Amino acid sequence: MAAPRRAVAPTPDAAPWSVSRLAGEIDTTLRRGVPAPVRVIGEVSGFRDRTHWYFDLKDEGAVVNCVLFANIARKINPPPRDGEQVVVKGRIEFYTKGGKVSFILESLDRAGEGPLDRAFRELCATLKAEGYFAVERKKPLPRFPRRIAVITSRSAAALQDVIDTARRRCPAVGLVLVDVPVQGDAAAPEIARAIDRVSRHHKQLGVDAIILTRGGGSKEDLWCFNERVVADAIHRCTVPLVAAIGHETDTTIAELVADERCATPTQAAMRLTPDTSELLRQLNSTRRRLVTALARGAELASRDIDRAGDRLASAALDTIAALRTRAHQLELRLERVRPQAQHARMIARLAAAQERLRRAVQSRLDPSRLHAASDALARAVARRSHDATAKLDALDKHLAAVSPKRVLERGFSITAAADGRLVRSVNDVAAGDALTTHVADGTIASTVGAHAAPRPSSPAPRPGKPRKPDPDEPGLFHGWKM
Amino acid sequence: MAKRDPHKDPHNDPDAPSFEQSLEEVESIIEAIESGEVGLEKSLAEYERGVKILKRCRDILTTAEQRIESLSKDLKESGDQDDE
Repeated sequence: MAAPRRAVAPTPDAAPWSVSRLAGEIDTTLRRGVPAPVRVIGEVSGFRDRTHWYFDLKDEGAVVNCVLFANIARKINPPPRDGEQVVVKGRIEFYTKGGKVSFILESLDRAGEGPLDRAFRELCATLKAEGYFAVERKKPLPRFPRRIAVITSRSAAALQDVIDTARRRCPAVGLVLVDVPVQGDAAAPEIARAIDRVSRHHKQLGVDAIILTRGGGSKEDLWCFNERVVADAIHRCTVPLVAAIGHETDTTIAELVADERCATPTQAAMRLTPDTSELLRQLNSTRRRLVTALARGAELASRDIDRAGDRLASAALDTIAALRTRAHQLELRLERVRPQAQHARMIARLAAAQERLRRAVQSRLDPSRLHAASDALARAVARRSHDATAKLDALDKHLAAVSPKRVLERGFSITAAADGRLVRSVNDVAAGDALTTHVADGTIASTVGAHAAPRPSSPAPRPGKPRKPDPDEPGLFHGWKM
Repeated sequence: MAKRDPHKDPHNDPDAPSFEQSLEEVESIIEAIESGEVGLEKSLAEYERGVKILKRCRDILTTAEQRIESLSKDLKESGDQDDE
């Protein structure tokens, strides 16, 4: 296409050009026709590091040789890899000695990467090597912070989002604003200072967490959050820090170093404030569990008390039962020694003794002797009885013979004095004594007239015999009288 | 609670011999009677005393049993009230 505009158009008849001339023409034409420098985007291929870098830049339909000299390559870290999209800037040369077109590069950037991107990438690599992003050093976030320090600009929309969210979810969590510029050259050191201040005074401030936030903006606007001072401040901060900077697609160094990254200020506020209604649900659930546990504990304890009470009572009752048994045994023993029983035993002993005595006596008696004695006794008695009967008959006859009545019938009388004494002698009476004289058929009362003198001999009614069987005359008389 | 009145409850009479002492006393009474060294009149009197002491012991045991039952019941009832 450039050919028609060429000033010197070779004529078919002109002498042929030397190769060198052609090469010179090509070189001149390339220099004139391709702007220098020119930026080209393409994919790295066949990368070779020979102090200078050599690789091909290609797309779907073409390939161009690229050279990047060592003085420039030294500044690019890390080197591009095959397949990487890069944006390069340089000029086209025709290497006459090799007959090749080369793209001599002045700079190489990752696709879409400007100087800021490169700085970002480089700081990232450094900080990663220094362990700033290590998961192990991420601090756990408090579940219920008393206060949250919000490091942002007073005028940022992000601040309002944080405030609204925190108020809605949990008004109990206090918010402290640390007002800093969030863009411009002064921003990074101010932000770093603010983080340091909160970290140093968090106890006095009662701050348990930090939200570092800013709304969306251009790469340049967000740049302060990619600076090393901020990364260092976050790294040494003792308070858990949540960062939410820019839009969700933006990632800043600050967010990588932070203990947790959130996509938006609202999410950061949600992440750090407990949800009141959720808390209430948890509280209610805990309360129910507590009440249940307490009730069960109380029930178990009550059962323990019942059991202990039962055991106590039964132990006491057992003791009483044992004592009762002992008392009962003593009663039985006492009953055995009851005097009545003793008395009965004595009677029994007495009876036994009597029986023994009887047996002893009996054993000493010879039954045959007893019989003999008994017979002899009987005979003796019979004999005596017979003799006595005979004697008695004789006596009876005799008695009949001497009966006073018979004597009286024969004419004799008996005279008795007043005192009943028989008058046997004249000396038995005195004059004037009353006398009673018994005759056979009655009595005669008389009085002694004169004292009679005793007769020389006293006539006997039946001489020789009357007094012989029974000399006691008054007895006989009395016996008769009675 | 009312003041402790030893005359009100004979079982709480501090001067009264303890239950065990009472039983030991009855035991010695029995042994004395068993030994046969005591005369009939004396043993009758001792027997009477023994019976009295044992009766008192029985009363003490019965009272104690009733108190235990009552206290045990109180305990159970107080537990039932707590459950409400």
